[in-house]
Amino acid sequence: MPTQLRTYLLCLAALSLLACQPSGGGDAEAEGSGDETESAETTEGEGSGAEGAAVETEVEQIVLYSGRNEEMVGPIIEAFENETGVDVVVNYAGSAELAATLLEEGDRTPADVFLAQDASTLGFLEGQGTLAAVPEGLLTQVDTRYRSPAGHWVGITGRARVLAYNTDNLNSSTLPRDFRALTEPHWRGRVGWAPENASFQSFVATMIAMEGEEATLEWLSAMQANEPVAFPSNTPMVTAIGRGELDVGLTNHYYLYRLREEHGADFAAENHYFRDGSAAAFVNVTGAAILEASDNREGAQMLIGYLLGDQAQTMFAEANHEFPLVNGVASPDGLPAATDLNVPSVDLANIHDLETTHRLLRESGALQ
Amino acid sequence: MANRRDTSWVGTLLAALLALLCVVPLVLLVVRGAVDGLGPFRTVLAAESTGAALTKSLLLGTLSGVVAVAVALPAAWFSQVTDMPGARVFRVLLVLPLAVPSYVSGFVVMAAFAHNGWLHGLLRPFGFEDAPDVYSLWGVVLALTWAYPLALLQIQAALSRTDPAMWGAARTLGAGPWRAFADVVLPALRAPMATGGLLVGLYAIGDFGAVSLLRFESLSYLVYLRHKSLFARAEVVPLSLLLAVVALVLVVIVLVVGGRTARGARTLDVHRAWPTIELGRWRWVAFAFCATLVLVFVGLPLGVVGYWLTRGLRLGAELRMPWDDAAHSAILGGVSALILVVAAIGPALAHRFGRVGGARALRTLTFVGYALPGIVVALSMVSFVVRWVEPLYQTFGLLVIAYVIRFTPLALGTLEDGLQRVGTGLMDAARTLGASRARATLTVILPSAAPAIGAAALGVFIAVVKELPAALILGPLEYDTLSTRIWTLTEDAFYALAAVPIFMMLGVALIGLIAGRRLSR
Amino acid sequence: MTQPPTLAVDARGLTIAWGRTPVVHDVSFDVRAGEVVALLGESGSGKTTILRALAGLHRIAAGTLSIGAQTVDAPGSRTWAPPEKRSVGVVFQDYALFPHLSVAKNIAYGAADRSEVDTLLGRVGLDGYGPRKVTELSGGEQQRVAVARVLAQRPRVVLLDEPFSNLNRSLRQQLRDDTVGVIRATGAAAVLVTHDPEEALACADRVAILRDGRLLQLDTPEHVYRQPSCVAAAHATGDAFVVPVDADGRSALGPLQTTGDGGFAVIRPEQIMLSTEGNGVVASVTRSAFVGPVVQVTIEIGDQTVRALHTGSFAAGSVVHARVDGTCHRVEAPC
Repeated sequence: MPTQLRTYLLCLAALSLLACQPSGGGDAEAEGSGDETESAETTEGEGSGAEGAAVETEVEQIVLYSGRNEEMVGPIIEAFENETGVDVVVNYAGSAELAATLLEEGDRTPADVFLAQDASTLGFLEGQGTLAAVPEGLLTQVDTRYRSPAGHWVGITGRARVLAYNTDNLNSSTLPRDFRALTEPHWRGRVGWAPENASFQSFVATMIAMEGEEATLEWLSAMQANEPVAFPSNTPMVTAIGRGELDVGLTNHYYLYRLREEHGADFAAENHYFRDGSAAAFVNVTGAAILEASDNREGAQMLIGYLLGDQAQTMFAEANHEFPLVNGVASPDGLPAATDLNVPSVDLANIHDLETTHRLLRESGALQ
Repeated sequence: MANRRDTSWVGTLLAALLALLCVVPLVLLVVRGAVDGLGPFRTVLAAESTGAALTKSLLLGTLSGVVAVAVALPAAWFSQVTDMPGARVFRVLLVLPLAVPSYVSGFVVMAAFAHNGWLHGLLRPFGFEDAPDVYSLWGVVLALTWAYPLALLQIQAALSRTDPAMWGAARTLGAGPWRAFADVVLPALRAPMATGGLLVGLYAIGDFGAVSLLRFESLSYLVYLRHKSLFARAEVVPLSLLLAVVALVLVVIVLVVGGRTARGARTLDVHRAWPTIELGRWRWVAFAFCATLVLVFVGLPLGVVGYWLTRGLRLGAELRMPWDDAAHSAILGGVSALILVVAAIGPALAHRFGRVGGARALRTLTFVGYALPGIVVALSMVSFVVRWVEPLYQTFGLLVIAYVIRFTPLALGTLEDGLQRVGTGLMDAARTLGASRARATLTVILPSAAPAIGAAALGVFIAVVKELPAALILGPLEYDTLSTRIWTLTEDAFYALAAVPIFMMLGVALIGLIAGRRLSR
Repeated sequence: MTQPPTLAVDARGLTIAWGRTPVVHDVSFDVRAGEVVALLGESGSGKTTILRALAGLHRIAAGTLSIGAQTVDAPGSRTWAPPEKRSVGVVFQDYALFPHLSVAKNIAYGAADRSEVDTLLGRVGLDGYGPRKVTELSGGEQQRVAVARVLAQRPRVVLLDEPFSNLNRSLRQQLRDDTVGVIRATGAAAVLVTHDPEEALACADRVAILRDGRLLQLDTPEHVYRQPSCVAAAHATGDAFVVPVDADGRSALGPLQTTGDGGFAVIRPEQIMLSTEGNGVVASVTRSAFVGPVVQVTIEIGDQTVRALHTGSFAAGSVVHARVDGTCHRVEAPC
């Protein structure tokens, strides 16, 4: 019997070794990942260092937490890897989720760079001391309004708030004059929003900064009473608009293009830019920051520098239809020029108070 | 001569270890809850959304279970014992919907039945202006009905073990076919119907693919939302515990009401085949029923995803073959299946040929890992690991551990069912022929049990390939599987791109299901 | 100087239990080398339990058990040899052939000498069956493979657990004789467990009658049949009628020639002679059943119902004269 047990346990042990598969990129920064990993070979197409410009660097790997979807960001990262020969390991998830994860991981986080899809999340983390200073040379590549005044994050691309609408049921004359009109009775049940979404919460934070807590709470409550259709994220909302399941929705501008690509040019939706200097005309940013806990500042700065470079900015514009923020790069075709948008004069630095935003959202019932 | 077995201490130890492992997530949750204190609990219990979500989850679980059984029962009966045309082919086809994960079936339901969907398009000319509202309880129940084969398999297995002589006896005693079915067949199927309904109900309660796609705020969806948010993360633990309680209560209720499961019931020593029951004109009704099931639950997903693909190609999308993700899925599935089967074979053998101390209690414990929704298991482990077992964080090994916890009952159940076919006499014969217990196990028992082992491994493999929340939350960075790839692509409406991994996953799962059926024969 | 031959099986005072319930009580018997002993009894008599204990598949609670010179089970001295260490082969009731191995591999599994496989196949009449799959064989063929497999291991004792019960009548007798013949030819001892008295009487050198876990009688077939030790033993070996008899041999069936002691006499059906006239007790015929070789005639004498064998049949209700031929053995009240 003991012999049987011994053989059996040996079998199990041997098989457990099988479980020590290379964990993709592994967490190179974290203290000894024990018997796991260290095989920094990913099967993603990374350069073996031989192609592209031979960058003199000791950086071997960068860990990026990306709140932006892999399809949008992936090609740009791949281009970076090809050019520099540096391997980038990416954790794709929602911005809020990643922020929460970063807080939980604390000093043990393997992340070097955090790419967030909105400024308020970045501002919030900045306030918690999670972010390190971004070098001056990178910060100054974008306009002051699109970076942190304290210098802990820099905007990479711009994303405009719009009202997406179904073109079969509405035309430009039947659209609301401003976003406050959406609380009126004839919009009951016809408006979509995504209260969990970071971009939406930035919009609310902007409203708080511009009009104060009370007015914002009033609007939120009135909207909530008008039976809005809540979506977990923007993509299903704009899809619903295109399918005719929903008339209008508050969202970001670039979803329309993705869905047009997918469903064809007859996708029945269009973006309406408010252009009235209100919070609903707000342009948010995809921003990048360096983690305070990162040991790999050089790598982090390299990556951010690339994202601000011409190639990446052009890719953002052409592939993702986002507004490039670096001066001198053209806006994507078919989009209004960023200067035409009449954005509100709110400093992004002032919209980091996510706690208040959340409180109001819950009080109004928009967030359960 | 059943009761003179010696307690196998090795088997008991292994079974105990396995059971202990399966309980880990629950323990972690409870400990974390205690550490966090009552604050988050109070917030959660006071919130209106909690009560609503709780009701929704209960309704969802119950309805899904009932609908699945209602579908599976006639399907099993028709395909297994009647003269319905094509019964043999249907026996395989009717199991295939299991290949479709809920995060795909949700989309299928939307594409086919929602406003401006296919059904709406078909019916509009006839004056139907409004499409049914799929973003509702019934929409989700429909999306989760793809799991009906879980109940079907239970019923089919029980049917083949039931003595067909009872049917003949009832009929010759004057009962018409309906009465014979109600009086003689249904009672025998009560236990597998309960088990099947339970399996589907648990699947429904723990699901987060379909509920998030169809925006149905059940508890599991709420857990997911809280996990994704920045400030409400503390609520994940109390919500998960609530979800765990619901799932475990459901398990207890069904086990008690369903009565004796196959473990205690008598199995036929000699497999007596059912005579083919003639349905007369009704066989075409049966055929229509089964054909509809196959068309909707197999044909529709293939059609919808195929449509995405062709539309994408037409619009010039650049399709990619996710070989890496497929390889990751395969390795993950393969390693998990291997480890789980090796871990479970010891207790399963001991249970069959010897005695395992406290077998029933241990078996019930292993159910904890399965009953807990995948997202709860993953979340319970992630916060613990990041804090205390950091080297394991975001590693392949951690994911495998999670899968062992999740799918132990699956492996154990299939193994034990298959081992029933291996007569106890074989072990006796081998030993009297001079083989030690170990040699007998290796050269006689295991080879005879090979089909059962294969079926168990395949079952786990498919489950792992389909699984989503653990892969999303616990997986190593950049280690995408087919399931996570599909999820991230569909999240941002890259449907055409998603079609490729979906087809790959369906292909793998379909082949696995068919092979598994062969082995379980 | 000849040494007394070692007993193949020496069982003394065997008490065997399932869990806490004893099912075999203090049974002692022995089997000499080359001998065939039948354990005869109904289900529940403990015969299969004893067989499993002999095989090492069940431990005894008390007593000693030796196979050849080896003490294999002795709770008192904590001696126990597992099945694989005993020189015992078992032919199971359902044969327990290994389904994943071919016929030849089955036989070779425990074989002392693998080259013998073909010889053994020949000996059981299955020449050329080596490469076949066991699942394709008929019941009779499977039984023979099981026997060959056991013989290949050259055991000292062959245990047979009702090995013929799953076969058709027509096969049974032939296979029975063949099997026992083959086993005897190897010189191994055999213990045959059966509930069929005809099988026990025909195959065995000695028959052990078991009932409710106790040994009633262990003797040659003739002795157990003709001189049963008690009523139960008498019934175990065939049809028997037990009638009270007085000291002079008078009974309800007339005068009897008796042996042994006791107030009851055992009468076998073949001893009852029927005639339409002549001497004998008057009896009325209830029914006649033609069973092929003979006619079973059920008669009533007073309030006793008795079955006799006759070459012809009698109409129901007719009156016959019955007398008993041969010697009847006396027994005490049921033991």
